[in-house]
Amino acid sequence: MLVSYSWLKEYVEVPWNAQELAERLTMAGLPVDRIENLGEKWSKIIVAEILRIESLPQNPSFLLCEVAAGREKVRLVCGAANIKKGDKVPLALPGTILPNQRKIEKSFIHNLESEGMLCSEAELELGTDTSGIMILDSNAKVGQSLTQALNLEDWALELDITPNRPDCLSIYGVAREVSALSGNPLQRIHFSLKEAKQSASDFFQIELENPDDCPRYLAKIIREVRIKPSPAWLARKLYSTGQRPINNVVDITNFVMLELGHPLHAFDYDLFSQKKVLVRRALNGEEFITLDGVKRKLGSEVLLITDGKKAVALAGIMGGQESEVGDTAKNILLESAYFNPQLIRQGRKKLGLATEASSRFERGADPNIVATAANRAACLIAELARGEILKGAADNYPKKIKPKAIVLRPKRVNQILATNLESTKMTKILKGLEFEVKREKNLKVTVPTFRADVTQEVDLIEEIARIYGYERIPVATQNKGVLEVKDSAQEGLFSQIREKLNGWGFQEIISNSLVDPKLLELFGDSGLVITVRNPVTTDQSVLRTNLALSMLQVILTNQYRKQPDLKLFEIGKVYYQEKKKPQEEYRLCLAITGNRYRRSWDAKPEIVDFYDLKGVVQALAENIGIDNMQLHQGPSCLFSSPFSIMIETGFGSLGNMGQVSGSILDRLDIKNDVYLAEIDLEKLSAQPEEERRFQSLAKYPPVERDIAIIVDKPTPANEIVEKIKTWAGGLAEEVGIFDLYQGKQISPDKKSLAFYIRYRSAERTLTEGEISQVQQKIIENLQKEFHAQLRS
Amino acid sequence: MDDLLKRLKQLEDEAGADLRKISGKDQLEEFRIKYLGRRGAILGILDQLRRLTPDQKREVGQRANLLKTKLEEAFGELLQKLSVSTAAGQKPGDSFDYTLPGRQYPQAKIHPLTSVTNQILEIFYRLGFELATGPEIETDYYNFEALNIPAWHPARDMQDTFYLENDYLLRTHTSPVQIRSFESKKPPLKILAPGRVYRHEAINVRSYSTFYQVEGFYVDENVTLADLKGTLFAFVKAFYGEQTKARFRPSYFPFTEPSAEVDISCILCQGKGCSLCKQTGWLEILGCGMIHPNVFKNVGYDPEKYTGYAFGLGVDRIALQKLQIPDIRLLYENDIKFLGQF
Repeated sequence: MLVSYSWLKEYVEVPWNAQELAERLTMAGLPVDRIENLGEKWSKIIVAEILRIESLPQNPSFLLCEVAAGREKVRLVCGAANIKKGDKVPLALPGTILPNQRKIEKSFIHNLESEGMLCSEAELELGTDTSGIMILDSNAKVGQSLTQALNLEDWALELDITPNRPDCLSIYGVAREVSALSGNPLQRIHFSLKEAKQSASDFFQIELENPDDCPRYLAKIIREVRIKPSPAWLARKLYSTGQRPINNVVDITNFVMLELGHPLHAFDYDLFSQKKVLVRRALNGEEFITLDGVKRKLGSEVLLITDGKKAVALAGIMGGQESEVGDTAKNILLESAYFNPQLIRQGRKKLGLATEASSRFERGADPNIVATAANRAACLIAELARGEILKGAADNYPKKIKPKAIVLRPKRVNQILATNLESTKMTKILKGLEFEVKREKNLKVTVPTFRADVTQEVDLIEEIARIYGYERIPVATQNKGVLEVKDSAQEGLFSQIREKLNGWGFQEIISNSLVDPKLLELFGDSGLVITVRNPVTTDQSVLRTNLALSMLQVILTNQYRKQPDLKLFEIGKVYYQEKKKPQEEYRLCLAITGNRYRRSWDAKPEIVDFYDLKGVVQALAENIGIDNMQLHQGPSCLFSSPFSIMIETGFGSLGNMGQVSGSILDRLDIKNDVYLAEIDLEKLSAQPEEERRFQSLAKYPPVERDIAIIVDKPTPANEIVEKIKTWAGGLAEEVGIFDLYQGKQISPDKKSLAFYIRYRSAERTLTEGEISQVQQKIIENLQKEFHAQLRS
Repeated sequence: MDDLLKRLKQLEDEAGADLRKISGKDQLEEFRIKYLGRRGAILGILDQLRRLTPDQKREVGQRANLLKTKLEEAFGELLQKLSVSTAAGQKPGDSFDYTLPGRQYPQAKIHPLTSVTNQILEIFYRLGFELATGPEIETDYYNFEALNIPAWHPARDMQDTFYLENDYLLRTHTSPVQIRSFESKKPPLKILAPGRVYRHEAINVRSYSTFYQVEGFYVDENVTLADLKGTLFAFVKAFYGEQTKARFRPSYFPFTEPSAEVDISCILCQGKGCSLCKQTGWLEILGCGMIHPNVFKNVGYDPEKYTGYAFGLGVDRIALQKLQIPDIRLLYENDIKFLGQF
């Protein structure tokens, strides 16, 4: 909403300049986004005096003029006929940009150089007259800017009005706020209605299909109007709030809407097929051409103004092309109505058509300003278009909407605001906003109908706070609250994971939960997918059922930017449905791809592999207290066989990890192998934190022995390790694998594994003999159970 | 026998002197051969034990073995030391260049949104807020109705919504956590609810379909607008620094009344006016207000007995401002060069 500073001053004395006013309004809840200096539009246009004027011999309809423009004289060629020697006229020199954005250049007309342009009222957006050059007052000072000469200094404040304040979508409404803030009185708008003897209500009737849809419809008839361009003052007002003049009648309806906030509509009454207005819902599939020339398909949520036979307007949204007030219109039906805000909103949404009118009606116009707005407009039409106003109006208002009364307890006000205001101060503030206040035990406040947003005591409290000034509300210096400190186990776990993974070189990512259904299909859980009914784009139209897809997309983005060596993780939610109920759970996704290390003088380039990933998963499991993690191979859409590993713990499946399948990588255009793990964090968060207690340190020395064996290739190494531990009967503190060999030196279906066993007892120093005995037993068992061959 | 003992003492001294001179593996090998080798000095002495009486043998033997062990240990230690000092791919004679980069340790960071969220949470934890969470997939009731935003309320335009099947939707703000907390607890409560929210908006430099909020609310007897102002001003000072000014101005949210917004003096121009603050000198950082009595009625709290405040911060916007990131999409694109900056 653009508010012209000078227009505003017509209704209230503003004790502040435009900048201060903007600050005051902002601090009162009407934020000003921007201030436009309107006077600047004419600051480069100069007052010039015509010194000499003669017709061009080649073409007498052109005039060659010499004008004085301050110190210099300018020669120019002009096509207008209304100027004579001695006239003061507006001059735009080359380089000047006119208010309509046209840039003036030097030009040649009939080979004569023209060093500028004399402007018409319309070209300067100072009026609507296009017929000739604008002639200025003879007292205007030559060389002065037009802004100074015509006193055009003005500012437009762009207000960002919140949806609860339709009353401030008008100059008068903003003036009311200024009045309350400054204490200066709000001026009434004066006009005197001169009406014909014939009564409008005799002329035609208004029928409402449902008064809930249209609680009030009022129409006045103005006969024998002359449609023509608006006078300069009206055009300027429209321009100052960002509108363009059309013709006097249409401009007047717009003017009154801007002034009072109530949208009006003028119809060419001669185009009505009968003397009637019927307000009804549109039929499903009914069609209507709006005045912008667009044929629109309607639905039952659209309210129509009809003449009983055909539709003439979309109620509260836009008029029809057919009944538009054109140049030949004679008799005007002026509509001033109050429509159900919710219905207008529904209709506007259905049609996708937001207008100045709909934005006011859907937020809530004032049902009781309807007659005033109509009379104000009718008077102006009579004045500017010489029409005759029929007496009164046809006014169908079956159930008058009355102002509400609310009890306000001054004590409550001070309790919530932490203030110490007198009830007289509260009364003054509310009266300033045109609320009626009666002193009873408390205050009885009657809310004007233009403030439909105020429905209960707390709304009045806000009004008082707003006008009193939020900046004057005290700032508490004590921290009140609950004496209880509870940690979130989940957040704690997440921070721990983030810290560890950061330390191990994994960068955190955060990606969108909305993904492409076509890509998600590759992961094979489409039955569970939750779809967005109204996506913005199709590639963000379903919720992810895994973190792997977005992870792979991030890998792709980085690969495109020549950043192929990645260690990434994300902690985020996945979403799926179970028996039509949506579920969401936190997961951790880890991925590695590319080189293990950055290129360096001391590291050979090595590509990461499955064991890099497994190492991180294991380390993480140890760090977050999962000690019974078990792995086994299993099929998965995401991973390629055999590198597809399920992770289990005592409390169920925890996730999976592996090498991402070639077909998925190909589909996504990822060039390098990717190793990825996805782990369910909900189950982990639920686990009680492992309690850690001191364990005494070993007193006796360890002895380390190695065993190297050759076994069948498929034998799982970890199984052998576990067996060795068992056979060592508690003497093996640690068993590890320190070598793996598969190659030419042994048979192709075999592999060689070398283990170290660290023996230690908590009670004594182990003797050579004891160890040899155990070692011998292990070797024998290995040979028996794994058909192992001892390697020397 | 005495001459042998004397010789051992001599050897010990000699060896000690030799050890001190050793600076490379070659010299160490020479040392080994000289003293500990098959024809080395210690074995040479042990060879002569034959000539002695059993008692003498024992004494000299013990002494010789003691020295042998001592030298072996010294040899081992030195070998280890010398091995380490040449391990960086260096052979004896290679140059030592301290300007070569050190061996790599991995570098990684948390996402800027996580880090800004954590900074915000830390401050409110210190003010006594307790963490709570809620689902991102919500119902109309929790996201709108219960928060005093009935269907066809104009405020619904402020929060365009993604709708799912079976009347679910993606929450447009973290405020549903208020309702869920009120339903499960009785006042007093002081809660902080961070999380992901969604808006049905075209993606561009300033808006993305998903973003993060931190919601905070406090309900008790006698909570006032001054408490809200005090809490948020304390936050601003802690988060942006003492020099930052805060401004508390009226606004509108259906679920708070009175409602307010907090602006801070522009962190780039300190309030002089620049492109970040669109020449206003102020940056909007959060919306807040006193919880609307209708919200309390919806959850069965007595609005006469209890009052409370609520606020919601947009983490993304704060991160963009604070880190001077020009485009919100960068946050969700996850270019590692970008993420590595913060």
